[in-house]
Amino acid sequence: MNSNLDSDKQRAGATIRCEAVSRSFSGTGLVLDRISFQVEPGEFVAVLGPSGSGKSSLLRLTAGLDQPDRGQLVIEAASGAPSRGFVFQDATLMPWRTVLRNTTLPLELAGWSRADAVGRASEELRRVRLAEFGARYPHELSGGMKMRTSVARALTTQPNLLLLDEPFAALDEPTRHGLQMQLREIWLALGMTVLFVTHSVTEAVFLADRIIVLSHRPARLLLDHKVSLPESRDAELRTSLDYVNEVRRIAAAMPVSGEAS
Amino acid sequence: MTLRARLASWLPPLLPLIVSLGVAEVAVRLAWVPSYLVPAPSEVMQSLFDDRVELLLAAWATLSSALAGLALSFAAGTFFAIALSSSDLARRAFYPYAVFFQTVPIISIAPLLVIWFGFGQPTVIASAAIVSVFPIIASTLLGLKSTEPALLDLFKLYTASSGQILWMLKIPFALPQIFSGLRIASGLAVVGAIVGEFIGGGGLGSVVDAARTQQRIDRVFAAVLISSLLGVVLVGAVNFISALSLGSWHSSERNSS
Amino acid sequence: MNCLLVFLSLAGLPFAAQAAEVAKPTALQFALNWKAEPEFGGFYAAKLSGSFEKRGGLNVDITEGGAGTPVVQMVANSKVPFGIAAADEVVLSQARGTDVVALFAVYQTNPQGIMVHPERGFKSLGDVFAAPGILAIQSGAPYTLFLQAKFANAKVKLVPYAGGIAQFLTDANYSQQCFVTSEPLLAKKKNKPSQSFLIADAGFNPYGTVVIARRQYLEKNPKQARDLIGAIRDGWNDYLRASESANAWMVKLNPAMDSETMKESAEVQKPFILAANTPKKELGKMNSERWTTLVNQLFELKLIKKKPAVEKLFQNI
Repeated sequence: MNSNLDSDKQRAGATIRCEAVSRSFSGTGLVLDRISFQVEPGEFVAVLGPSGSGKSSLLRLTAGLDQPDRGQLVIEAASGAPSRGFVFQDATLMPWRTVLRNTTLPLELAGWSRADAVGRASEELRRVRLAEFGARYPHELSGGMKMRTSVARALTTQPNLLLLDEPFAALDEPTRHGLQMQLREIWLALGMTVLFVTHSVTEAVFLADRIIVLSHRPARLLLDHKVSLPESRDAELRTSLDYVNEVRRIAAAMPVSGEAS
Repeated sequence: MTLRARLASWLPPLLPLIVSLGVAEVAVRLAWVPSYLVPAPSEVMQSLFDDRVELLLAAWATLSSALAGLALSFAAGTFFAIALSSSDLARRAFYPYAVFFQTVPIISIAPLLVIWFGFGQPTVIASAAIVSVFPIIASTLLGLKSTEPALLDLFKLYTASSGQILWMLKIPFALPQIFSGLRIASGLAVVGAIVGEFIGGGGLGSVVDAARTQQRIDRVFAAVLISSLLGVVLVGAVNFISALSLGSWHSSERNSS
Repeated sequence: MNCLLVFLSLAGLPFAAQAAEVAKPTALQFALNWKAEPEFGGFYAAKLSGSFEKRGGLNVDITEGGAGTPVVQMVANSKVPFGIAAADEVVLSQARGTDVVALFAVYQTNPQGIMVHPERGFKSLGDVFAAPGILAIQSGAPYTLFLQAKFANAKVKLVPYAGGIAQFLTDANYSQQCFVTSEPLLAKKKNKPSQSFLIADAGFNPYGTVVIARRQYLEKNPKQARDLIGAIRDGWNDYLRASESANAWMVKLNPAMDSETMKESAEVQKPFILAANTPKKELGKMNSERWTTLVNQLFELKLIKKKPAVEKLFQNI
């Protein structure tokens, strides 16, 4: 799925430098405890951890929606300011807008003309295979289709960095598997940096080049591991020995559930 | 729909009405109940027919005043709510005074309105606006403050200006609440108009006033009937506009049968 | 001797019982349709001088009213036996089959008027209606309809009358209805001179402030009604002679007027109560010509659909 309009600049992903980042909230206390890691351009990184471990907080810091209390989190692109795309756990579509008008939102906010925005957005809708549904309203879509719309929306600005916060958690397994493969295809085609938050070990192993495991709150980095699996991943992979071994290895590094730190 | 189904939906609300009208008619004719307390329904119907031109003209006057008052309160109320929603300090400072519009008894400040706005329609419109403004402020404010946080995050992520957030997110999101407030306000606007007319003259209010002086209870009932119809018409208009705007996407419109 | 004493005392018992019965007064409610003012001075004077007790052993409780007090309905509903109403209300009720009767009229000439600012230079009611400005008058009232019919091409704007003189004091283009014995005096007190025109002079002159009762009640209690009206007549004759003591009482009940204004009002209203040379015992009596005229006028104004029999409207007792 190559787009001829992609330039070299757009192919470049962003760099993330997370240096000793800490964050606390009143009421919950220290959530992130001196987290340090670095992500190279074009890497697909999964962030794993138990519920409440601060994975979402880390993602919000990366998105620029929040600031660390200590340390610094720097995001750089090869040229110019990095642009980010964000996919929430809930598809977060505006119910009063059609699929197409939902997808054009980031471009409208950036001041694009209606015609240009529609053109760009339609491309992304084609990429996620929702081109015929542009005139539908969110309430007419299935959960999986809403999520694909959300992904298309995130891609319209051709971001260097794509941030996803457990986007497939609320979907049934077949839809989830299908979307996971679609996401990898999109990443392989566009080459942006991806930071993917999840609590599912199998999902992390299937999707990512690299997995970061966080402990319970206050979260520390428990593991930073490069996944040794081929670049092209299909449904067959899920039952292969290599895959199962990787899952085991990661699962062993996960903190025991219920264990407070 | 089959005839049976049609009957099943229309008969239950119609039956109590027919029975009570019948009882009232009999009671007045047999002089169980004196006619200066409760008029016979047939007298009210007669009154409606005899005075139909006058009642229609009066109803039109009241309706136009109520509409003007409603337009005023909608504009002012929405503006006020938007202003309050954008500043926590402003809201804490001024919202308690908005509540004043809810609690002030309009019948006691109506004479003041006459002093400020003079006799005639300006007072009536002012009265309708004052009585109907609070539901709009309250509902609109609630709607604006209930924006889904995830959507707000989305807008902030794409560095939307507060103007963009207000216009493209908060207001559309608040539309169901805004219509809900408008629905309540439209009925109140009719009430406010009629109260204003008691003091300022004109419309159905003066019909009721004169009928009262002349002990024509049947005329009073006829005028009251027409004024409830006005309320129904206004609310119906709001519902229509609401269905147009929300019909494609809001569950409240889609699920109503 | 003892037997004689016992016999005499036993014989005296019926008389004692009767005396005891007479000694206990009958409680009666009398409903006014406004606050205590010289308009009702005679009633209060009757109560003060004990006329009600002396005449018929009646303990009359005079209750004040206000805007919209439905005295006619209260009397028709037997909530109160006697009350005050306007003469046209009696006609309207009778036309609708409600049998209330007028028994006594305080005013032979109706003091209903229109009060204007003298600077406007009006010479008659016709001038008032022909000039622009505002006239506050009760909507739907017979005198309102009468004036609207008489001065058909009016330039003045008719607006509802809400009571009081507040607007009159502040607005030079504002005229309003009044009782010539009341509002103009109140305005004078506030240093606002005024000029009044009587609606009676324009041709509408029903009896003013009439005492009413249900015919059924009258038929059951004829002596009581006679005693009451007799005492009221006495009270009004007293009040016309000297109004101070009744005024002193009314001032306490109604702070809107002070005793100086009440005294003046009592004086101003004298010519309205007494036609020329009225003997004392004729005070308050009514005649059928006046009532017939009123019925015809109300019929012409379409306030009544059929004319009630004049004999049913009033009784001089």
